[in-house]
Amino acid sequence: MQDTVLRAFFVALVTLLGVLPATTVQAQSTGGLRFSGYGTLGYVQDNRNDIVAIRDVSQRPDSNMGSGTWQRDSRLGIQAEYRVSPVVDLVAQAVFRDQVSTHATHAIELAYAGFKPTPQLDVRVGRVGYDAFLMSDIRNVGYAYPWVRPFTEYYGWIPLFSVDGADIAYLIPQGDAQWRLKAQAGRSGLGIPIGDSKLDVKADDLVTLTVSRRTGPWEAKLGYSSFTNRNEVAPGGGGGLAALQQGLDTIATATASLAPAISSEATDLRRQLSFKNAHMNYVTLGAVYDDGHLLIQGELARTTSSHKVVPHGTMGYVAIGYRTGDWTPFMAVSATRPGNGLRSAKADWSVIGQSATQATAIAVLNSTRMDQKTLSFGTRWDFQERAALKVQWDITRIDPHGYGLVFKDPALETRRSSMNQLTLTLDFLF
Amino acid sequence: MKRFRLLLALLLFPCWAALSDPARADVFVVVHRDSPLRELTPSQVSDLYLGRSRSLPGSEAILVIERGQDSSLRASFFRLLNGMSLKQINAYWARLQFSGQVLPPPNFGDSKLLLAAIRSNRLAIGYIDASEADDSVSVVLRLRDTQ
Repeated sequence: MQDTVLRAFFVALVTLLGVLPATTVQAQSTGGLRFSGYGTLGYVQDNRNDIVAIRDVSQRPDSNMGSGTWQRDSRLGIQAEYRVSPVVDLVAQAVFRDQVSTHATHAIELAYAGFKPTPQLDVRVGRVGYDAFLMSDIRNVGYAYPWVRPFTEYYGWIPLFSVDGADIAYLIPQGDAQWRLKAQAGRSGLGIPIGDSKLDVKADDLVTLTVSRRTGPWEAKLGYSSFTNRNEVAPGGGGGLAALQQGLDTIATATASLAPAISSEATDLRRQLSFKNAHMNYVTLGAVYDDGHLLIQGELARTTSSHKVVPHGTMGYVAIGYRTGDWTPFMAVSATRPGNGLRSAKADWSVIGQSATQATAIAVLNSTRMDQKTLSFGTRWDFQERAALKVQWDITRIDPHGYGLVFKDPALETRRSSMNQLTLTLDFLF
Repeated sequence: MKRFRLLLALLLFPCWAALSDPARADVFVVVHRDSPLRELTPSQVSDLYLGRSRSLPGSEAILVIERGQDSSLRASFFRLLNGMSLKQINAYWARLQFSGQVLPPPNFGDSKLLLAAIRSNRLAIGYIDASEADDSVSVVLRLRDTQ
C-alpha cells in the first residue's frame, strides 16, 4: 500500500515537473524549472582473478574476474528542480548506476517538496537523501569530492541511499560558527545480492539525528541512525540461505528435548542468520578541514546489529589532499574491523548426522565479516570548469574471514589476500 | 597489460584545458536602496553565496542572485571574495545541489536584468562589475582587485 502511495507521489512529482514551463529569462529570477545533472565514467582494473571488489553492497559484479570493468563506478544523475516560490521547492533526481535491484523506484534518489518557513528552518517531505555520514547523500556525485569513490571500507556496506519520509534541519548561528541540527525519519529500500538472488532490504522505523558545526575551514558532524529490516530472503533464494534457515528451524525443533545443546545452538544460528527484524544502529563522527589548499577529512563509525549476518563493526578513514592549481593529489587510509568475533562450533552435531549443516551455517555467518584495509594514492585534475579527471591506486589487504566487502573464490576465506586496483574516472556536471 | 597501456595513454591525453586567467575588475555587491542591509563583510557575503545562510542579523530571508555560471565576472567575484576558483565553487555547489540540501540561487547573465531585479526586490542581493554600478542601487561591499 505504502509502495503504491510512494509510486503515485513520484509519478505526480515527475509529471508536475514535466509540464511546468521551460526555463526562461523571467523564470530565472525566481529559479523556475531547471534541469541539471552529473556523471562519472570510470574504469577500474585490478590484479586478482579470484577477487572482485564492489563499490557498495547494492552491486553484484559481472562474473569476469580478473578483467577491468566500467560498471563499478560509472553513473549518471539527472535532476529537475522547480522553485514554486521563494519558500517552496520541488526536486526530483534519478540516478542510473549498476545495482542489483531492478525496481524502477530504486533509480529515484530524490523526489521531495522542500519548505523554508524561516531563514533558519528547512523541511523536506518525500524521498530525501540519507544523511547520517559526511558524504552519505553525495556518494554518487563524484565531481563533489577528490577521490574516485567514497571509501569502500566506510561507505561500501551502507544499505541505504535515500529515505522515504521527511527531514527537518535547523540552523543556529553562533558568532562566526554555525550549528545545524537535523532529524530524519521514514523508511528505505535497496536490493542486495545474496547468492544468486537478492534481498530486498526494507528498512523501517528509520531515524537519523545529526549535529554539525562549521566555523572557518572546519566542519564536524556527529550522527546517529537506526532502523529495522523487515524483509527476509525469498523462499528458495539467497543461494540456499532460505533452505539453510529452514533446516536450522527443523533441527532446533527436533532436538529440543533430546539434545538441548544442539537445539540451542541451532536456534541461535537461525536467529543470527536471519535478515528479518535485524535492528541496526550507527554512530558516526566526521570532521573536515579545508582552507582552499589543504584538505583533511576523516570519519569514524561504530555500527551494531542485532543479527550477526548483517555486516557491522568499526570503520574509519583519513584522507589528506592538497590543491595546487588544477591538481589535487591525495592519499588516504581506510579500514573496517568486524563487530562480531569469529564463530565456531559449540556442540557436536555429528551425533545427529548434521555436521555439514552446522559447518555451513557457521561459514555463512563468518563470510559477512568485514576485515580489510586500503591505502590509496591519487590525484584529481580539474581540466575544465565542469569536468575533472581522477586517477587512483588502491592497495587493499583483506584478513582471513574478513571478505564481506568483496566477491571471491570461496577457497580464500581462511587466507589473507592483497589486491591492487587502478581506477581512472571522468567526473562531470551538466 | 593492454588495458594498463590504455589507461596510461588516457592519463597522458593532451591537455586541451583553457588556461584562462579571470579578468581583472573591481566587483561591487549591491542591494535595493531601501534594503535593511547597509554594509556587509566579505565573510557575510561569502556565507550567503555559499548557501550557508539565508539571512543576516536584522534581516528577513535574502534573495541571493547569481551571475552566469562560467562568467569571468563570477570568477572574479569569488576570487576576490573568498579566494575560491570557479572549479572549487562548482564542486562545492555540486555537493549542496545534488544532495538536495540547498538549491543554487537564480542567476542573471545580463547586468541590466540583474539591476532591474535588485530594484524590484527590497531583499535581493547581487553583484556587478564596478563600472556598471549606478545610484539606483546601494553598494554594500566593494571588492577591489589589487592584483
